[in-house]
Amino acid sequence: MPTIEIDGKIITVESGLNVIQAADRLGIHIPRFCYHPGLSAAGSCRMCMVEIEKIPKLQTACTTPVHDGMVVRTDTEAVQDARRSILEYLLINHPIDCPICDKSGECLLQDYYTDYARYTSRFLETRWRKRKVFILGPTIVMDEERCVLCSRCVRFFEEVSGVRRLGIFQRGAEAYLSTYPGEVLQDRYCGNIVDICPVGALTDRDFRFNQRVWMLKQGHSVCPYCARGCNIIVDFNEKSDIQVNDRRVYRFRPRPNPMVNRYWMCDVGRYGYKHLDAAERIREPLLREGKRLTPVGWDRVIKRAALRIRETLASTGPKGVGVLVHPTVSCETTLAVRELFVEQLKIRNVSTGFPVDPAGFEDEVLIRRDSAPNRRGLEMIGLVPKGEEVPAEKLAADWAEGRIQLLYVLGDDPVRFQHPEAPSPIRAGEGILILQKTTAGPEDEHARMVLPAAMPAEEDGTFVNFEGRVQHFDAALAPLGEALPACEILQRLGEALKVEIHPECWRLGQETWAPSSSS
Amino acid sequence: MEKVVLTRNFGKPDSHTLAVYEAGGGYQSLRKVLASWTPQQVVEEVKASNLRGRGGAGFPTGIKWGFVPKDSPKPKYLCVNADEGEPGTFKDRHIMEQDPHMMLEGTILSAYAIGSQTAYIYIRGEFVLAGARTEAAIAEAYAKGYLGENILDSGYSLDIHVHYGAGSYICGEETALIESIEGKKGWPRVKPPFPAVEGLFGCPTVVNNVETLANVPLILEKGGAWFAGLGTEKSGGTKLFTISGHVNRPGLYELPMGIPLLEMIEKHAGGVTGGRKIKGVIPGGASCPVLAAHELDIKMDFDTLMAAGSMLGSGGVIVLAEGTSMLATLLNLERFFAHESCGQCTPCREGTRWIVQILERIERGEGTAGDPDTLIDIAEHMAGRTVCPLGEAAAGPVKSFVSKFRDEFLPSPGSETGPAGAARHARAGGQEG
Repeated sequence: MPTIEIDGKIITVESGLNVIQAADRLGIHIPRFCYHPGLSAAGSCRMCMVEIEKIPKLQTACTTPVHDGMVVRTDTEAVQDARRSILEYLLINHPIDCPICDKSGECLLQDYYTDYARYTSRFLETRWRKRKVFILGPTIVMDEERCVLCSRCVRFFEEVSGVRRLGIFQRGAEAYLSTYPGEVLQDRYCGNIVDICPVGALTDRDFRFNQRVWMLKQGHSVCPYCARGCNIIVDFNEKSDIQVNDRRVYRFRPRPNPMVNRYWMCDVGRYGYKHLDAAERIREPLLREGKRLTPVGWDRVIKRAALRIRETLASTGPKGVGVLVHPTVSCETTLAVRELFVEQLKIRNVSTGFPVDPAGFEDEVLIRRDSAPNRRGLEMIGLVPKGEEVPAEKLAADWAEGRIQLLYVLGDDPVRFQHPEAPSPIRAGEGILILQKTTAGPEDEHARMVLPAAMPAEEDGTFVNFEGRVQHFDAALAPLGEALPACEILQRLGEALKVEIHPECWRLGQETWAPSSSS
Repeated sequence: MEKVVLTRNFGKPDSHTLAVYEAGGGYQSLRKVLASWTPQQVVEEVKASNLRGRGGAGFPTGIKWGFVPKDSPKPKYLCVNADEGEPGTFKDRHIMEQDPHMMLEGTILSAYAIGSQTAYIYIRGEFVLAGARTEAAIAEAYAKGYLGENILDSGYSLDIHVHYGAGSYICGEETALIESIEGKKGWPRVKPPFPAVEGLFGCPTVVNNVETLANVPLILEKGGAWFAGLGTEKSGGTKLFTISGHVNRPGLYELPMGIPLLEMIEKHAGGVTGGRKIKGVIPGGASCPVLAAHELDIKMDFDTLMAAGSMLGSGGVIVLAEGTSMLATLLNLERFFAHESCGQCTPCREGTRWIVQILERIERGEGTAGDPDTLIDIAEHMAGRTVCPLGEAAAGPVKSFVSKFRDEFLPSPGSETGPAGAARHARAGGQEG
């Protein structure tokens, strides 16, 4: 294990690491454009040059392996001078259109100019013009004049997503980034190239011009759209002029986690942020009055739900009540369901959701066929003793055919976020259907009441991903409208049912499961 | 010509054929070596010869071969760099056109020395005749048993493939050449790892210039000491010089390493056209810093020129007579480098074009007093900071031309060919970067 010194700080690292990686561990930021920790080192932007003792020329930190006794300086006059010159080279033909550039505020070129350059230009020539607002594909737009040809995006497709989709064509100063001739840029992981683009060359057609990044607040969560559980950053406004009294979510971005998603996420998850503010979100508790579901307050809907559950239990006993839990709910909610419905109310008609669609898409990168985030968590908790579980199809059939008089459904059908047109597996029934969910669906027309639940980004919770990795997350932002965290709904329901429940048991701590990856 | 070694067959009828090459003693070294020498003996003999790479960098060939790991389980490759693209240089082309077997025999011997069983000859695409003659020579060598399985019953086998370049200068840089053979865009690789460890297809690889390899048969025939004795103390053999520019007899000359530059120009190239004085000489191809008139009393070898701040390079001597515009000359050179920059790394991609833009502005008569310093500063920030030597190659001429002929890059009138009465550029104040 080589021990090296960078700017007077000593660190011992495993051999094979490059200087820039060792510096990152020390918290010393060496400016970079082409280097990205999730990609191979290109060594081409020449921004990360540092001084290394006993080597006369400056060396690129991203391609120089550490060796024992190495002494690195990142703050000398020569290094500063090199950085200034690279920035000058990059900026001579840059449009410097920060005021109208979507990347402004999270642009490395902008940051580094401010940090290291601040020179007066001596460029007297005419700037070269290149392609502006060039649509690369359905989600990505390119501004060639802003591109610094760092090749991060090219390497991303080659090394991460696995298909070469972009290349740098021509040579010298005429080199430009493009798709291959005639190709439209489409990939399940396209959005990542916007995240890793160090400048405003690649912007996201969805996010573009919607919000200045410095106006956004950040929260952390876990992506709920498949069994991978990518760690995410939620970018949102608490108030915007579009929805005056409400917050609005603008984007999801991947949050690095080497054990789960490294630096990436898929576009399904990325654009899944839209479900948070979607028109289909259920904002208020709904109760069927006559033919219509009508907004009523929480008190009324909870009282009514408790009443119906009591009535049914009184007339049919526990076998007349069914509980269907979709694997989109958190472990905490699952524990609350177990305590309330299974342990206290002795209900045994319990199911943990419909099976995974075998025809669903899956790849070797991130996307899992199972579009539910917590199937493994439900399995690990076990709502009913093993083997006593009721298959969801049977529960749905028992309900539709009248063998069950009351069905309480928790969570959203995971398939519906990706296939909104898919028919609901829950058909009409004679009895009472209570839905506790986030987003409207076709089964709502059969429901007596709909209880608006928070989405995962809006509540504390824990998911267990397909590998068994336990990931706790805190609420990134407040629930939309009157929606409540699922556990709180169950707690209120328990109180209305006059059942003694212990919310503290629902919380998963270190003592419950030692989290193998905290988020 | 003195001490004719490499050009011994040049000019003979059908000099490119196997029959003529064999009649002059060709392939005797191969027979001798494969019969009784170990690869290590070949390496040692070449080390003793002081043969240095003729592609431009002048690295000792035997030492380069010694970097190939002997214990690697991977196949080893020899690449012959026949992508001769340095402006002012046209020696390898003549070897391939007039005596391709000399290169082939050298290639086989060198491949044997490094333990390679596959060699690639990367030929500049424009060299149609050279390519055809090389391919014909390879066919003859296969037919005669000098190539292929079990060469001359020695148990050693070698295949040679010819790969043509597509017109890019940068593919003469060894790692760009490797990328190109692999079917990729000719972008130089970041080093380390060096090709000797991780080269073609990720395997240990040696890239040698045509002229370098062409010397090997005679070294092994007559001995390393003999070859070393032909040259200077640290650089053995003769050198193929290609003299162009304002001389009466431009062309290819085989001369001893270390020959005085002026002797070469006056005695061999017939002096400067029109009896003019020499204004400057580019001693080793376009990328070598120019020597001014007062620097011409110099010996033409790697170390002397290096000490003088220039390079022997590939031996392309470009003579510039009095009356030549150094601005126009430098602009010509820098347009070449800007056009041939691969565009991968920032300083070279942006710097070469910026230099051209400034030189063009000076040529239009819109130069400013600050331009010479700006040019030198841009060049200094390119040199040594790029992925490959092209940045250095483009920077060298800028620094030397502008510092040695500064007047010609200034707007003031009165210089020999500078932009007289140049309109001062109005925008001297500058913009925010």
